[in-house]
This record gives sequence, structure tokens and C-alpha cells, in this order.
Amino acid sequence: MRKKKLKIGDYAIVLIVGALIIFLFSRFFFNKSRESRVEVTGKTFQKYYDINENRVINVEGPLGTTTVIIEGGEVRVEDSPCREKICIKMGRKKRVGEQIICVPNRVIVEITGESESVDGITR
Amino acid sequence: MGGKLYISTTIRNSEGNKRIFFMAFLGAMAISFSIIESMIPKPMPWMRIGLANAITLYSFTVLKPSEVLPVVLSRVVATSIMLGTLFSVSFFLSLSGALSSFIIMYLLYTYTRRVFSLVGVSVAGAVTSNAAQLTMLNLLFINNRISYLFLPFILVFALIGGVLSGLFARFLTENI
Repeated sequence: MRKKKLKIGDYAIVLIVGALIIFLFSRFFFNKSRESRVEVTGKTFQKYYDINENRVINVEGPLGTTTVIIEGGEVRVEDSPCREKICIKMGRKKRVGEQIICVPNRVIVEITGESESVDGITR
Repeated sequence: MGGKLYISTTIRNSEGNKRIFFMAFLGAMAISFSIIESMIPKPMPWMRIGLANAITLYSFTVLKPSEVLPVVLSRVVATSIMLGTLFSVSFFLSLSGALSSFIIMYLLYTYTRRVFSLVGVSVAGAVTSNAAQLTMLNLLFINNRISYLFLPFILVFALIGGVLSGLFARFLTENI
């Protein structure tokens, strides 16, 4: 019968859909926005930094100095005087909407900017 | 009998009778497949094989396109009545998915039969159905950008389900 075999259009459409899936996944996972900024907020301190510019920021808080490092498009807390060191254990953040918060030393680090597909709810 | 009178006055020849009965048979088959599929537990609601879609596809091979549309519509409405979701969100989702995939599969099956076999038409229909359901979800709800995040995941399962239901439709055409 004529319907026995797969035709060339079948392979084509599977390939097209596969390529679409890969494209969407890559957009989903490599969603590093170019214009994203790092907002560092302390008790008497608030500033924005470019995330693609490497720098070391010292934030004065009630307990002492928290060291925030921006490096290679990622931000992390290098050193903190707080007891639990949760902010250091938060690790590296690079996507829009992600935050590092040190409650004892009153420091908030947040990546802000225009996100392509990830919004404030699904960060 | 009332039913017999109705059919004999509207459809003159027995050939038309047979077609009506066959449409009803295919619609019933699609309904039962939809309900069986809705009973299978699945982690995400979009992880379906689309066996009802396979019935739609098979209907294209034996019926005229104008006769496939009632099969599709009756399947959607009757399934939602039986599952108790009539005029709820999921009803409109499945209605939009079924109608849009019907249109796409009709165009592909009628005009590009040389290029696509049933499997290709089925994959196109499954992808269209899922995309239409997402669009409908965005129209129904205000917070609309989130659901497009699901698109790649949904497309993966649409691809797998489309191939499976296409193979199933081919199995039907060869064995009925």
C-alpha cells in the first residue's frame, strides 16, 4: 500500500520541530540578558553596577564589611561578617531576578534588568 | 421509529446512511479514546499521546473533510460532558486545540499528500494543537508570559505523541 512508508516530509517536519525545540531550549537556558545590572543595597548604600564589568564592592553594614564580587557576568558574596554565612553559600548568581540576601548585615544583592522570557514569578 | 424516520427523510440513499453511521462510530471511538487517555495518570496534563487525534486523522482517509468536522466537534463536546468540564477552561483549551489541528491537518492532508504521510500530518497537528492551547490559555488569563516558558517542554511531548498517534492512525488504515 502507498501508506506503508514514511515520506520525506515526515522526516522534514520531525527535524523542523526538533530544531524548534532545541532553539527554544537554548533560549530558555542561555537567557543571560546583556543589559542586566546588579543592584547592591546596604543599610545606607544603594548602587547599580554593570554585570559584565568585573569589580569588588565593599558594603558597610551593622556587623562589618560584606564583600560582593562581580566577575565574568556572575555575582557572588565573597566574605561576610555574619554568623550563618548563608549569603556566601548562595553561590553565584547570573540570571535576572536572582537575589543574594544577607539579613544580619542588611545587604541585598539583586540582578535587575529586562528579561526575555523569565519574569518575576518564574525566576 | 423516530430515529429511522429522521434518517430516511434527511438522507435518501443507504450510502448516506452508512456514512452517517460510520461518522458516529468514529466519533464514539474518539470519545472513548479521549476518556481512556484522561484516566491514565500523568505527571503533567500535556503529556498525552493524542489517540483521539489519531481517530481524526483516520477519519480524513475515509470521510470527506466536511464530514470530519462533526466528528471532531462531537468528540470535544461529548468528552467534556462526560468528564464534567463543559464550558470550563479545559473545554475551551481542547476545543481550540482540536479545531486548529483539524484545520492544519485538513490543509496538509488535502494539498500535500505527496510529501507527508500520516505521521507527518499527525506531528503537525499535535504541534498546532499544543500551540493553540497555549495561545488560548494566554487569551483567557491575564498573566500571559509565563505559559510560553512551557513551550519547549510541551513541544517535546507533542513530537513524541504526534509520531505515536500517526503510527496508530496508519495502523488503523491498514487494519480496518
